[in-house]
Amino acid sequence: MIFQTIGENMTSIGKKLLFSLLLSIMLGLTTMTAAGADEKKEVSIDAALSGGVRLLDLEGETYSLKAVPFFGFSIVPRVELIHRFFFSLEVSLSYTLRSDYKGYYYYDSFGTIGLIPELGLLFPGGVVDYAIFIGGGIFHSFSEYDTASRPAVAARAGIEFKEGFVRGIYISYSHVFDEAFQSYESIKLFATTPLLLRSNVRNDIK
Amino acid sequence: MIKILTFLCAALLFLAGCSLLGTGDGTAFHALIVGIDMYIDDNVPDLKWCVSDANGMRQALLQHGWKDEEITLLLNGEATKDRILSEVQSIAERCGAGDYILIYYSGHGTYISDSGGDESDGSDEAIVPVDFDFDNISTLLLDDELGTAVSRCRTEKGVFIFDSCNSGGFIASSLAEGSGMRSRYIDTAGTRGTGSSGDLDIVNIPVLAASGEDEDSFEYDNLQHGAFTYFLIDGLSDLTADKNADGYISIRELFHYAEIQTEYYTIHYQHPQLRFSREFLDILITR
Repeated sequence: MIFQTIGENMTSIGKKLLFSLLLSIMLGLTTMTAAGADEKKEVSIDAALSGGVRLLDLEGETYSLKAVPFFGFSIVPRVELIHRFFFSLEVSLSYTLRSDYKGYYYYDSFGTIGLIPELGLLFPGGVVDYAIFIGGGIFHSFSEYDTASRPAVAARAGIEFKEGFVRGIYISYSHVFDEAFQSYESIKLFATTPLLLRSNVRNDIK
Repeated sequence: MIKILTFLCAALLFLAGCSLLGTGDGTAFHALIVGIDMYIDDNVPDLKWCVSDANGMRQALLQHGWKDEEITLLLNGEATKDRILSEVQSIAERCGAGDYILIYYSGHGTYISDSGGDESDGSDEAIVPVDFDFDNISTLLLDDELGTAVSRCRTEKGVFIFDSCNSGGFIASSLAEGSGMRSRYIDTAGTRGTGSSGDLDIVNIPVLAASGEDEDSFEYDNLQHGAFTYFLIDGLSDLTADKNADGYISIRELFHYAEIQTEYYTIHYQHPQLRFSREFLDILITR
């Protein structure tokens, strides 16, 4: 049923992006497997808690900008492709709260599943390392009144600790292409921690 | 870096929290409510509860914070084609980008073969003004004309509500006789067609229609209203339709309440329709 709904609402660009996404995932998994065999490459799966704001209707005229809080959880597997250069896949589940009622309208609460393959670079620092990731994928949003998949691009930057429970803290920005919303931006902070697997982490990345 | 992230975190929380709950922001409200029971042309069967519908909707809006001066009420002889169009144009021109527009109509509805070729279904929907001439279909108020009048409107906020037959269909004529049910559909020589669809696509304002494209809308003596309007008013009274219990009734909430009740009451002869082009968005109808 869910997949039927997804299919009905998918735009042609969404279908192409979904295909690209699946291809990226397969490529990522293949690369990850290959990298796992190479003991010098880092492979990890992190969990992340996140929170931030979605900026809805940034360009609207009748319906002006509303900033709506959201929070979520992500799984972030990543693999070091070459020295300091990473492939990552953020699989996120988030919940956006209902907006305020100013202007006699509101955005209802909605859930979102995000699949964002990313490529990133790690820059060595002193106490911490600095990371930047850029990617694109799909946000599938669902609420009582609407279910649709929308293409998205995202970028995040942050710091990574060489050791400790918290692996990294990032600030992320994503743009969802959605004609109905005019524009749909998300800014979030998220902290990651190692989940199932963390091997060959390079503490000597300098 | 930690300080910067802490600052960003605080900024995000501030941004998220700065929109405190509240509704007012200087939005201006404009409503046009039309109800027609008594038609001039003897060939058009009179209705019984459309004026009651219009008065009931007005009262329901007043009960929920609308002001009398924001509502224009046209009943029976006042609701000529020219007057309705003039009022719609007047509202459209007055409306600012963030203003709120509500247009409600209760009366006969019909459709005619599309002459402009702009309708995918080959039909123009129409409402029937009080001065409709049975032998002259140009006296109908077509959806195209209504759409053109409203197209000057800068706002997308508001709702159009039609409690009339939006389409052909010859169902329930036997039921309509002697059962307290009257169809709000009239059939003229020009109404033969293939059906109808929502044709106010020229504007993005949500539209609530009392019945499906192949259905009539009915009024009932025991309700003293059209079925759909009765449940709209019922949903507004005492916040009955306030599904999420936030103290306000939205257009989607009101529609879904009236939809379920109308379908149940009419034994599924009538299936109300909602067109709402914006995902996740909902518009309040109470203030």
